[in-house]
Amino acid sequence: MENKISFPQFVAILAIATGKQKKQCEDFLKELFRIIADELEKGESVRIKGFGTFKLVEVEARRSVDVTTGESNEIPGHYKVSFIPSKELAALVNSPFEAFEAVEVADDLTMDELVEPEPEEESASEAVPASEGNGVAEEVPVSEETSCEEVPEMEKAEEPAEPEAATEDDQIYSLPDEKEEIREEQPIEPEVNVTGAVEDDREAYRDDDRGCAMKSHKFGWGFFAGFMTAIVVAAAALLVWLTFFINREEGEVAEIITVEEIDSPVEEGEVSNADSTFADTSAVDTQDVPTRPSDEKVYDTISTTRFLTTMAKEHYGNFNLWPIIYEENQAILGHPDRIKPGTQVVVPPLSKYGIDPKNPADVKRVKEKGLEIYGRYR
Amino acid sequence: MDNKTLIDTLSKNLDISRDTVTSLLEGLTKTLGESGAELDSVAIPSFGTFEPRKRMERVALHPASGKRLLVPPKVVMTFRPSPVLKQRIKESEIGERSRDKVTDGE
Repeated sequence: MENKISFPQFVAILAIATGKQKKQCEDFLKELFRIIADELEKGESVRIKGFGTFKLVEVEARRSVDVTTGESNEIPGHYKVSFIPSKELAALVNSPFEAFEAVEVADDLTMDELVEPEPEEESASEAVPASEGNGVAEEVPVSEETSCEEVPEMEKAEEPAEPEAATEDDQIYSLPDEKEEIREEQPIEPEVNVTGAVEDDREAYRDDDRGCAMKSHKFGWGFFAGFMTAIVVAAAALLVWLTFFINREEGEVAEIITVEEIDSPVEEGEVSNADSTFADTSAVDTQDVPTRPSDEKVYDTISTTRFLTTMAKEHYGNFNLWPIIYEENQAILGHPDRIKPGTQVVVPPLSKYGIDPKNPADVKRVKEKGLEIYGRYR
Repeated sequence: MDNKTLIDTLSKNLDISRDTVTSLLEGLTKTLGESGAELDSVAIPSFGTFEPRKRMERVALHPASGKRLLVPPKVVMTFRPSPVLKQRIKESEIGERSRDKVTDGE
């Protein structure tokens, strides 16, 4: 990126690309540019199909001021070499950004809503995904000379300004919060129905969760394990609830709960099955890495400052994964850049699509999915 | 000089088939395009440098509808002639002529 490729290097690249001998490529390039230079010297323009046109452009003589002496002098008219790349070459060079299209800017946006983003001279290939949130396709005719600095750039906010800013720490801090929500959702049923014993049980869960929460940051497989834990927790909660009900009918509530608490084998025949399962699952639970927020199916609302990319970053830790949310909500969404603020979307668990955010191949696949989505609205 | 003449001249001077020249030219476009996409510039000695430039996104007015548009960033290929080539153009007949014209005008 932003390297200078020397002539011998370029010859080598060309030789590989064409499958021809280096020698032949070198001779060819030398001859080609010699001919072009000769033609230019004669004042001729050279047009190469698929590559571009070299031509001389006349520069009028103009007045100028000598910066050191302050005297006015004249720069004589001259010719300069101009190269106009062909459409094909221009498209090739612009390939990192071809997914973008000019988007209309709403007039009522204020500067506050805009985040100054743009990962300036990022490697071109990285820049694409980085700004995925934007549009598709070729340039739209626009007057070249206009550039309103003060104009809010809505689309910018959509770019990963926020995700980029989000540090490792942010993620870590945000985790426990989200976990709290999850915890509250899951064990609600036991809490409602069961007495202190289960309450204690749940307390143990929390501790486990917390303990593992620390670990989880270190494990790449945390997402998968986390999802498993979510299922386990849900199953456990359901079991507790079911067992409770079955047993209450038999008037043995208290006994069961005690049994659970000490985690010992159950005497009652009907319950023993369910209960041992429960014991098992809780054992798994302690070993497992806990639920990550990304594994829960949650709802989120699009706003002028929250986009699919923002959500993807928040829930999955990678804004490039926005197509997953899009796909999940495909039925209610139109063009990915023109989602109405206030639209409520489902953020599906990553495992639903078998995506591991730590796996570059998966992320790449999702990115391609994103391009494909834009392709639908071309 | 148009494309056909160029290919003919190249194939004659290098003693290779026109097909080979065509495929080499295509390869040239492809390799230059790919290096351009990486923002790598390619220097051709005594001719010039092909430099990709990144144009930042900007807000512009649509000339017809007057709407404000956010124009996405893009990469464009620019060519910077080497001093050698500039000198050659300057000293060539056409270069001399353009300077003469100025002195005539004064």
